[in-house]
Amino acid sequence: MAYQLYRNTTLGNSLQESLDELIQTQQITPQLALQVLLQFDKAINTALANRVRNRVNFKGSLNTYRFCDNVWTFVLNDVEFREVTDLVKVDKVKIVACDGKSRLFFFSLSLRPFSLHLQTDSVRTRSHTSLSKYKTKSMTISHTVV
Amino acid sequence: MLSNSSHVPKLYLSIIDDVIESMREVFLDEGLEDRVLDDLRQLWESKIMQSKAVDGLALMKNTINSSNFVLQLPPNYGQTFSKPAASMVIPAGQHVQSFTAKNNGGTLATFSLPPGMTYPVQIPAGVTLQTASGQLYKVNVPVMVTQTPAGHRHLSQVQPRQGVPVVEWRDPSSASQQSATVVPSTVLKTMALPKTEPFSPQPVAPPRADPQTTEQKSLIPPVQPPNEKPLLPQPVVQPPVQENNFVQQPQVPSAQATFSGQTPVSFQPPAQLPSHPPESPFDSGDFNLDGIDFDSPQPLDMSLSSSSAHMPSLQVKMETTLSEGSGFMGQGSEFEAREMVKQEDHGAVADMTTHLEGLPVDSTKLEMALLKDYNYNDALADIIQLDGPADSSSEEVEELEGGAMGENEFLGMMTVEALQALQEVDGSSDDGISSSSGDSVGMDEITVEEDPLNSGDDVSEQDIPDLFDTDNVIVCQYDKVCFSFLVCQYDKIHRSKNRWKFYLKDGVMCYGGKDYVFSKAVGEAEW
Repeated sequence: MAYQLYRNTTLGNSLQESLDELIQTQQITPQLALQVLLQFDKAINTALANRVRNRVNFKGSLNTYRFCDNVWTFVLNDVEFREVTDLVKVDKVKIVACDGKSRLFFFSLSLRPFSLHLQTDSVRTRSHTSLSKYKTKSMTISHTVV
Repeated sequence: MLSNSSHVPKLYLSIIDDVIESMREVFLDEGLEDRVLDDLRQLWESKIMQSKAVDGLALMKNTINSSNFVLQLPPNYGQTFSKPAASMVIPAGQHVQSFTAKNNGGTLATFSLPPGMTYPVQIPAGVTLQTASGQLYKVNVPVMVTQTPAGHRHLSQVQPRQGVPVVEWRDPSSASQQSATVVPSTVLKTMALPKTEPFSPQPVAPPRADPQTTEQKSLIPPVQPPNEKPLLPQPVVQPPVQENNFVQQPQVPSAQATFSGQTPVSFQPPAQLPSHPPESPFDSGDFNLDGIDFDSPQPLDMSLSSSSAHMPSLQVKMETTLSEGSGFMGQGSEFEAREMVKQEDHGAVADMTTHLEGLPVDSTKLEMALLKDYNYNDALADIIQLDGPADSSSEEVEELEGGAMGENEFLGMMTVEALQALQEVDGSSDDGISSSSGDSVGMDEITVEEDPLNSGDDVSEQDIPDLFDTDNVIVCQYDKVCFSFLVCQYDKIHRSKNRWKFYLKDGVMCYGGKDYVFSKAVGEAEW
């Protein structure tokens, strides 16, 4: 199981919204939507690891930092993002970074949360049709296990 | 940014493909039709495009990711292919691998540019091209397709090869990633039957060599039913739509008018192409602007009587706005354009709408959205009047608000700067504000009542209730919240005193409203 980190990107959000729409019109089931998201996680992790080859530098001032559950969250101000070609300045940027190393650790442990998650599916579907609930639930479970 | 932004659409498309394809079986197992999966894909892609976070996604789709051209081959296809290749010809033999034929009253073949194949590509006569997005183009004479670098807005110089001129053809949704240059030849007249004998390539009249002539619409109109009569080659084939040069405009209507006049076929540009309604523009009469020469029939319905005075200034403003090029793509320009429209006369607004529709401006989705917004402005113009004797700052705010509240679809287009400007200008707009929105009135009243009651209890600096209690309230909808974020994995985070160093990898960023990706990022910051 790959990081679900990338679900809150343009790509991920648009996918979730589209899936939500399909659920609302009852064209797909929430479980199926979840499968799609899991597949998306895998695909984007793979793509980023293999298909992207560029480097960015940035510099700014650190406003806040947080390290919780092996996830770093920073808020930087007045940042300059510099790539080979050019420069972009941003007033404020939030950085969320998961651990890039011990993937195996996360991987093995994450199996349990997902099985738990699936068991509760039947309960879930009675009360929720929105996919975002699933997202929250799975994140919660994984935190518990870790 | 150029390199990154050209990678991003490709990357996204590949991810989308991966996900969709790997879900196909699962969907089938669930008993769902392919259609559902395709719907999902459509929704997904459209949302991404809507967010404008990725440039040229649609163009990428059309040109690179799914460079599938559906060829409708005339029965005597073999004969037409014997044209000498300028650079690359598409003979039947070369695409055997992806060459499938169906019989649908003509042979339908699909091919994708083989891996080794690069632009320019010459497409012989008598083929129908269909892009993945469903647009159909029929090529009646040899066409040469070339590729110009991204951002290339002006026409590459015409290089007639064997008498076949080259004109740049831009996909309407291009944020200028790439543009295929299509040789029109007599492409526009491609109404000939596929069954007719091979159309001998007729060199078009010397192409207009203006550098500004950038073809916006497809030069190849959609496929027509086979029983169309062949069109005569006309010198007015040339790019009917001009992008940035208003002076070129006159040629457009004449081209269109002549075209539609002489042929039995109506020119119907594909739906996705720029906003140039095929039928209506050809009806109106002459139109004259003081600032700009529009002598030939202007394909618009302009009510000159009331608006001619306004039009020149409007025109000039629009011109400057619209000719901002890539800047026009940005939200800001759109906002400016809208603002200008709002400030113009009511009559002029209506004309602006139609005028804009005829303008051969940068034909992107943004343009379409812009026009739709102008239509809304048209409806709202009855409510808003921001100039003339009623021109005062408080009223401005009121009317904007009234407009915002009155029209659900009307997106509040207050940028931060405009908001500040309004607030600065507006000294005392109590009456204006409170009368325009019930909500704000309620808020004001409640706030006023609570302050004296609670003020004694406040232990804090007393600026908290005041912080949000302001006389100037604007209630609206936001179009887009531009915040930046970066989602990635960290290799190492290092700190020394208050100096932090970040070693990140595999990240997706969104800043300035645009998406970027990186495989490695190094940063430093001081806390």
